[in-house]
Amino acid sequence: MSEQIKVGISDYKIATAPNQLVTIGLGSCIGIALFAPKAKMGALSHIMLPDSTSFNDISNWPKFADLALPKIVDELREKASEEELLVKIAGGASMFSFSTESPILQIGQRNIEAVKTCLEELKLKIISEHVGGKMGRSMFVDLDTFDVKVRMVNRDEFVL
Amino acid sequence: MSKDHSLLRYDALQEVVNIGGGHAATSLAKLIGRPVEMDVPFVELLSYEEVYQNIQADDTIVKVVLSELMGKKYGVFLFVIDPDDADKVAHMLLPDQTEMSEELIDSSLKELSNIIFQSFLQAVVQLIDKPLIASLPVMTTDLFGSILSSVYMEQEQYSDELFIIKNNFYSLGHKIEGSLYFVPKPQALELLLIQLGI
Repeated sequence: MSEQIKVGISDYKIATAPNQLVTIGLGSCIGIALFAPKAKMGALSHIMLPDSTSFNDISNWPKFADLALPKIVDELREKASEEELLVKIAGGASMFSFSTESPILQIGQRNIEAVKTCLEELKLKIISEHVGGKMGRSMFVDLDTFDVKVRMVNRDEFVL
Repeated sequence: MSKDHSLLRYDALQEVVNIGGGHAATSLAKLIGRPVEMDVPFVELLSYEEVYQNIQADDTIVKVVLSELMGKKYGVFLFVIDPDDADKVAHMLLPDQTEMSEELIDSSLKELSNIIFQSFLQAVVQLIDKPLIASLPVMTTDLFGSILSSVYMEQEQYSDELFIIKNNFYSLGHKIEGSLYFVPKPQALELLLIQLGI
C-alpha cells in the first residue's frame, strides 16, 4: 500500500517508493523535492526562510534554507548510498504584492535565490521548477517516478 | 514583568479587539441590513499546527482581503471568508437581479472588508488618540495555509508560534461567517499598549 506522508511547515521527511511525499500551502515558502533514483528514495523539505544568520534561536533548523538543505542532502545521500540526487522546487510566491514593494524585500524572491545558491554549493542541479508569481502551491511527490505535481487554486495542475 | 502586569496587558489587548470588533460588527450590520453577531475576541499564541487544527485547516480555499496600516511599523488586517459565503454577502450588498460575476463578488467583498477595517480602526483611534490609516485593500483566493504563513512572514513574524488576534462575525444564525485578523509587526502591540498607558 502506498502512503501519503505529509510534510508540515518548517519540516522535512524522507521516504521511499511507493509512498508519496506531500506538502500543502506553500506561499512564500519553498518546497524542495530531492530524489535518489536508484534507491527510489526521496526527501521533501518545506523551508520558510532564506537565511539563519540573523537569528539567535536556530534549534528548528529545517525552517532555514541555508541550514536545512546541506543536512537533508547529507542524510539522503547517506541513507540511499547515492551521491547524485535529482532536485525539483516549487513555491516562493508573493501572495499579496503592493506595487510599492521592491522585489529585494519580498521574502518569496529571497527564498528562491537562497535555495538556488544552497543547491549550487551542494553541486546539485534543479531539473525543473515552478516558482514566483502570486499564487500558493501544494506539492505531491511520487517516489516511483519522481513526478512532482504542483496544485494551485483555480489553475491547472502542473507536473514538474 | 510581573504576572499580574502581563495579565493586565493581555486583558487590555483583548478589550481593544473587542471594542474594535464591536464597532466593525455594527457597521457591517448597517451595510447588509441584518443583525451581525460577534464571538468573544480570540487572542492567543499558537503554533502553525495548532492553528491548522483548531482554527482553519491549511488546505481550505478561502477568499482573503488584506489592508496594511500606513507607517510600515504596525501590521496588516485580513478579512477571511469562505468563497460560498462571499457569494452570499455579495448578493446582500447588490440589488436583486444583478448579474453576478466573480469580479463583482470580489469587488463587493473588498468594499465590505474595507468598511470592517476602517470602522475597527476608527474605534482604536479614539482609544489611543492617534491617527491610523489603512491602505486600499487587495484580495486573493487561495489556500489558508499558503496565505497565513506568507502574511506572518511579510510582517516580520518569523517565529514558529503565531500570535493570533481574531474576531469572528456571523449573520443569519451561522449561515454566513467571516473572520477579521490583525497580524502585528513585532513591536506593534508594544506601541499600542504604551499609547494606552499600560
